[in-house]
Amino acid sequence: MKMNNKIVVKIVAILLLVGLIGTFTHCVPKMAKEVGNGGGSSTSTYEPTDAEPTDEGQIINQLQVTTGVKNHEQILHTMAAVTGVNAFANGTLMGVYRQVESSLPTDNDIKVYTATQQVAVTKLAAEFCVALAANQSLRNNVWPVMIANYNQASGVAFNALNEALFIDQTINAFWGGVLSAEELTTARAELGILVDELINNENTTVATQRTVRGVCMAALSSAYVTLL
Amino acid sequence: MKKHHLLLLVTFVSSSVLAGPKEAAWKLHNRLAGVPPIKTATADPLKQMEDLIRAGNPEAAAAVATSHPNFYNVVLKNWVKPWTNREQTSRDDLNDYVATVLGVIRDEVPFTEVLSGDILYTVNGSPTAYSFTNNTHYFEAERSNSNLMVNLTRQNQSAMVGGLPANAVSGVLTTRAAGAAFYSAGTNRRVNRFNFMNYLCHDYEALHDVNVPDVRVRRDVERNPGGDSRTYKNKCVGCHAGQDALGGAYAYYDFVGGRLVYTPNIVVAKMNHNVYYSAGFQTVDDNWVNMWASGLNAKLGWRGATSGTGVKALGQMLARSSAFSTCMAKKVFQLVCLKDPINTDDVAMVTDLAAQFEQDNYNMKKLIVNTSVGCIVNEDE
Repeated sequence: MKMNNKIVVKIVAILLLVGLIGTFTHCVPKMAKEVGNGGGSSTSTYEPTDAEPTDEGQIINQLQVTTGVKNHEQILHTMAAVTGVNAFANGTLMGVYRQVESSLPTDNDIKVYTATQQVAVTKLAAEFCVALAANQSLRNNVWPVMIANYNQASGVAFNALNEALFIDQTINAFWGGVLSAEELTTARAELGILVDELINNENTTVATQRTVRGVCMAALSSAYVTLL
Repeated sequence: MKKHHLLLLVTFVSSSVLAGPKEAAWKLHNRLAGVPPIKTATADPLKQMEDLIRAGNPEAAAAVATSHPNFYNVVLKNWVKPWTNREQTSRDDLNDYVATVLGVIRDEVPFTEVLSGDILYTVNGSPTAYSFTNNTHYFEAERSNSNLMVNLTRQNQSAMVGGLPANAVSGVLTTRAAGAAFYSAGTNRRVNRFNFMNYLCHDYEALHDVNVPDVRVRRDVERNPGGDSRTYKNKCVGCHAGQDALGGAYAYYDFVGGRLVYTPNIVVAKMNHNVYYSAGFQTVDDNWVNMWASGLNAKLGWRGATSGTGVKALGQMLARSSAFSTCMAKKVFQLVCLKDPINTDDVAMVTDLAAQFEQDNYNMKKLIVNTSVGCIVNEDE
């Protein structure tokens, strides 16, 4: 089923912005890679020095970053693991992965994470979500609430109770249930808003199914899935 | 506007500070297996690891993560791949070099064997048989998503049909992938440089010492580049005096016809090509001497014999050095802690890990576990 184009564009735009902000708020100094390698990657010739840094680049480069981003293969396997989709048995999905593979991160250095890489992550997440939503067994495993509701109109499928269950099941499946209480509250609220926007005041099965895929895509391409 | 809430959500989520046993277990599994712990009908690794951390046994928690197939199939594979090509990139195919390192880690073989053992790992179930002349065996195994944790099979490199004789094999240094990357063309200097970078964490620039006698500098090094002999004495000698003295070890090896070839007692022609200074050293056999064992580069902690013949003896000397242990600890630290050991605490931790690595008989898996516990579990407490 086709998603409303306007909504798709809206989601992609939001995700891009989110990716940029989410990535570059980890005490990540810009231009760090240009002045040297400060962490995360595998340079093997670093020699500690007692010399004081002399310019801004060196100072920035010495900032320690203890968070990394998953590389291309780690992202593929992570998405496969949390969705249950067997990527290697899915020719279409692997085709998309091969297309975007070179745009996904090469190593775990978050300092060089780019918007292009976030686009590739989003594209791959979209494919996983299409495959997940299309497979009744996997879908029911991730969202038990959708067993009876996936083919219902959105008014029923996403009534207040179902919507809350759907959001919690999404968080549990993709983000692993390690959110703090505060994070959980925020996540629930924001995913609730996303559900409302994806339903877009329609009361149809089409709206239900695109909302499932849309929320899936947003959660699966988020930093919680791709960060180390 | 509602959209800003979503921005806040993901920003908040992504920048959250993890703390506590459950979060440490989550991070530990992600770092070591490359994927989060997934609950199944029969297992709940997150809960299992969390309980182990709470019980004061974080090493066992880390071992849960290292028992995941993706510890080998994804994390270690991508860690080792850059050691096996000139570009130092993980964007390369699985090969015999990578497979052998993974097998040594899985089987907890002393990691020093990587540089000298008569050892090679093939992939059981690969659609194509192993060959000394191409990499198809490993390429196909990777493409078919073979489970390396299960399928890696130990072999004696010298027992492989068409392989090198036992006295000529030296762990990954004589694999086909090493041959293709480091012995092809050139003057056989490349292989030694990459060995120093990969296993001692020192490129030649860091070893530059112009006080080393230049008696082993080969004939293809000009003594007066640009018409000025000072350049030779103050620059060229700094690297060539040491590396050329070690280079004899590779005198009988070349990569031709798609495979590493060993020609006992016959020095490959490229070692003595390009005579720019006829009185320079001429390689006549595979004898080598470590000129860097004294002077500035004694800091690498050489132990035991510092001269010998052939690659195996050279590999053993590299692996005996304290720089080898420190380098391995540093590389593992970078892998699981995602930063360089810069501050005092991190440097001290790497030093301790290197010492423990030696006490554990160079068990790389234990080193990885110990490091991950040190910088993930202990730091989150």
